[in-house]
Formats: sequence, structure tokens, C-alpha cells
Amino acid sequence: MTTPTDTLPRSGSPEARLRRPVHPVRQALRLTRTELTLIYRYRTALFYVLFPLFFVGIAMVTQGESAIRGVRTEAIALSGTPAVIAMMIGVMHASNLYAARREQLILKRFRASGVPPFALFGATTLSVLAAVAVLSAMVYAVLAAGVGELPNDPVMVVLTAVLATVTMVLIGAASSRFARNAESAQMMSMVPFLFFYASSGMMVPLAMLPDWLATVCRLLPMAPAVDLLRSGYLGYDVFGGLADARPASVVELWTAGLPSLAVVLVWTALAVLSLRSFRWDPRQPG
Amino acid sequence: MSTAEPPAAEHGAGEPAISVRELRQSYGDFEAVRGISFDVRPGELFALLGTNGAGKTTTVETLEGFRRPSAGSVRVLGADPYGQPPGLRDRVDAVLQHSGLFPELTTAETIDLSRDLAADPMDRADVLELTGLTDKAGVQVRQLSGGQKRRLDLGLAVLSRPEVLFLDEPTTGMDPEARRATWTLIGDLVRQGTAVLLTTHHLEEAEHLADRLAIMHHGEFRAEGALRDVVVEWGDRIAFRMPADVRFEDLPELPGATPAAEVRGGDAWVRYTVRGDDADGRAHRAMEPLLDWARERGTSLGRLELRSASLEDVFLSVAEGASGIAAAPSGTD
Repeated sequence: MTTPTDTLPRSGSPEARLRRPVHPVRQALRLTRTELTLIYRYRTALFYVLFPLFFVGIAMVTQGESAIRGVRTEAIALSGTPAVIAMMIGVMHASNLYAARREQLILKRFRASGVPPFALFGATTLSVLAAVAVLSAMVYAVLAAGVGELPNDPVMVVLTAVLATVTMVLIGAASSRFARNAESAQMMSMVPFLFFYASSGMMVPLAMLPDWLATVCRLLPMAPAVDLLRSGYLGYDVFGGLADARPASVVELWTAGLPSLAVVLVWTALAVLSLRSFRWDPRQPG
Repeated sequence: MSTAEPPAAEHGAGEPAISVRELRQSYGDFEAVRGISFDVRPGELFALLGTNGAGKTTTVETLEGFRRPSAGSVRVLGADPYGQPPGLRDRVDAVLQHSGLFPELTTAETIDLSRDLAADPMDRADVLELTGLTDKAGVQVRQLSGGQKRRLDLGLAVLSRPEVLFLDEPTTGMDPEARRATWTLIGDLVRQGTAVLLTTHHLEEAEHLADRLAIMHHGEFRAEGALRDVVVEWGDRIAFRMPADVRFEDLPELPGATPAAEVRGGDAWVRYTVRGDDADGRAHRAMEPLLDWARERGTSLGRLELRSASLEDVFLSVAEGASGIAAAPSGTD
């Protein structure tokens, strides 16, 4: 994204020759600061970002027979929540944000003044990542305090949460293309939200679904992310279903988790690709 | 992208900063821009005038990199601007037709954000001073008036010291004082070497700022050139109410002038369009024989008027689609 512009002779004022463009990563970090300010000031955003706590609350009061012998029900429910938090904020907040900013011509102005897409999407992703991190830390703190379990494989947990966040933010941003304005984006985002929640294995355990449907869910982004989080946190290989879960070493976890990780990575790549048709201008044709 | 891209390095001093060749833009069956060409050099301001829907904004958006030309080519600093390529990002800036500001940020926060994203930006205090918003620094953008937002838009666009600046109706909503101040600011930028493409509804703005201008209508240039040339080519107008006892064929031949009949308020009128290189003397030379003719016939020319061309005349006749104006740019007579 950073072709040196020094090769272009300057036709403007002499001091123009001296300047070096700000690197897109630095621009993304600077914009992240603004994103966080805006989450606080833009009340709709604050609502979306805190909204997942409600679902976490539901998960915490989940009762019933544990699906894994020796693991408490709440631990199974809560260990997978970062994926759901990332999905809710990504799909609902990001799509609302981008629809509103497109409508307000904020995106267009940034592009017209030379801010690259990487910096804009990067900043939104990083700000959502910060929110996901804070909320997930709260959930895991509850889990650790209540059940006395710390994440078994923090790398797998963090990597999965990051990938899920990137994927869901970019899907949310790309899906804003179909919304005429921020309000319709709000309504429309319920569809992917319910779709992703239903296919995550968090709303309905995959074991309760017909085999073919469970297989479809495992090819969608949410269920593999939830499996990776649960396995990484609990130290159980749950990739073959909760009923067959068994304690596993870190190496065994990564080996068993590779297919799930691959599915998540494919979705991350698809989410990045989906931005190719992103509209910056509300009037833009096509 | 329709043609092979020349290497950007070929773009040297003296080359136009903005170059448009036979640009066409279509939306489905509708052709918004129909084959326009122009150049803007460093240190020059080119104004695009026209009615709403004339294709001005579509043209500017193509140059800003938001649209691919349907046909023809555009170059900004020697490069294809589509998709805002990295080589142009810190050298080009724009004031869009409508403000695109975060309502929740303050004026100062908005300026600081743009400063931090730009290479070698102006100081915040200078930007506030330049836009006359110093006492609004701590105010949220949502509380600014339309004119104040417009000034902030301009401040954000110039703080990166761009070499090419697109201004799409930049003074909309400003009070006369702010508009004057904005003109001074834009004039200074042009003197410092910035190439500016300005669209405006304000003829006075174009008269004040433009080195060259074009009047656009239905996607075409109907008049183009230096302000004086456009006005001179359009010609002076001699008009009077058609005397009752005179037929059109009886009207005299006047040097450098062509007569036309028109209807105004239910009456028949005659209008001579006086063109010619001698812009200072041509109206007098045409009027003299007309008055001689009237005296010889004993005819009185009711409500006789002589108007030197103004940009407003040219603009209005283009906007009304008056006949004859399409020929003006080719410099006939």
C-alpha cells in the first residue's frame, strides 16, 4: 500500500518535495483512537458494543447436564463467547457504522483526501478488537473466578478471537453495501446476526442438529471459531463434537484444530475479498 | 485504465496537473458527460460552471478517482486517478459537494485527525485562523452552521498542502464575508502553485477566481476559455421591440452583427448579436448605422437596449439552451 511517491516529480511548491506520506499502519492506529472516541460519543455504537453482555448473561445462567464429563456447563457456554461477541459487534456495529458514514459522505471525504482503505478498515477492526478484548476478558474473568479454570492454550484462544473479529468486522462493513442508510443497516443486520448465532453451536448445540446441517455449520465461520475457543480454553479436543471431547495436549489440540482453523482462515480471506466491491460513495453506480 | 498507463515519472514541470480528454460518463442509457476535454496547469484555477445536472460533479468525481471513465481518459499529475492510487494520495485533496465530517468530534479534533493523517500538515492554529474558526475550536461539528462546516471542509482540504485541489461548490452556505475570505484563501493557493478545479453556481466566484472556465450543459462544454474570451465571443446584444410597420426582411445589415427575432412578453423583438475582434468598438460600430436607418425611415426603436456581454448572459443563455451559443466557443465571425 506504500509505493514511494518520491519517484513522482513535484509540480507544486518546493516544500512539497520534502514530505513523506504517513504510513497506512500509522494512519490506522491514529484512526483507531478516533474510533474509540466515537464509540463512546456515538450512543448507538456504545449500545452495540455493550449489547453482547446480554447474551453472555444468558450463557452464564445456562443450566443442565454438562455435555463434557468433568467440565461445568457454564465453562462450555462461556468459553466460546468471544466468537459471539466478535460476531455481534462486527455484524451489527460495523455495518451500522459504515452505512452511516457512507451516507454522511465521511468515507468519501477520507478517500478523496488520500486515506487508504487499509487505514479505515484497519481502524474499525482494531477498535472492535479492543471492545471484544475487554468484553472477553470480563467473561473469562467470571469464568476463571467461578470455575477456577484459566485458558489452557491462550495462543489458540487469542488467535481465534482475533480472526473472528477481523472476519466479522469486514463482513459487517461489506454487508453495509446493501443498506440504503444506517437505519436499514440496523434492520438488515438482524439477518446475518441470527444466521451466525444459529450456526455457531452456542444457540443450539450442533449435536442436536441433523448430521448434514451440523456439517454445514462446521463449514461456516462461527462453529469452527467456537470449537477452537472451547478447545483452547478448556484443553479438551471438542472438534469431533462435545460428546466425544477428551483432554488433549497443546500439540494434539492444534493438530485436531487445523481443519477448523483452515475454515476460519478461508472466511477471513473471503471477508477481505468481499471489500473489493465496497462502495465509498452513496451515489456510486453498481 | 482503458489505455496503457504512462509512467508517472514522465510527468514533469510545465505539464498540466489535470488533463481530461474526450471524457464520457454514462449511467445506463443516460450520458451525464459527453466528450469534454480540458487541462489545468499548476498555478491555474479552472472553473466549471453549469446548471444542476450538467455533469460537473460527475466530472470532478471521475478526477477524484471515484469513477472510471466510460470513454476517454483523465490524468491527475500524470497518473490515472481511479481508486486513489498511493502515488497521488498525499498530493491531491478535495472539498466534496457535501460535508463529510464526524458530527461527534469537535472542530479541533477534526483538524487534528486530518493533520495526523497527512504528510507535512499545516499547524492547527493556522488552519483555525485561515478558516475563521478559532473561537469554534472546542465546539462539536454537529453544532456548526452550514457555512462554518463548509469552511472546516476547506481547512481540511488545504491543510495537507495539496498540489491538486478539487473544490465542488466550496462556498455553498457561506455568508458574503466568509465567501470573500475563502476567495482570498483560494487565490493565495493558486498563486503558490496549486492547480485548482472549481465547480460553482456563483458566477461572481468564477469571475473573481477563474483563470479559465467552461460552461457545461447536458454533459457538454458550451463555452470555454479565458473569462474575457468567453464573454467576448458570446458577443454584445442590441435589442428593440419590432416596429409595427417593419418586416424582418426590412431590417438593416449591421457590421459584425446578425439579427434574430424573438418574443418577449407577447411582443415581437429584434435582437442583434454583435461579434468581432474589436470588442471595445464593435457595439458602437453596429449601433451607428442602426440609428441612421431608423432616422431615415422615421421609425422609433421602442425600448432600445444595448448590453455588453457578461458572464451571466452567457451562462443564462446556455442554461436556457438559447440557439447560437453552441457556436460561440468555436469563435465564428
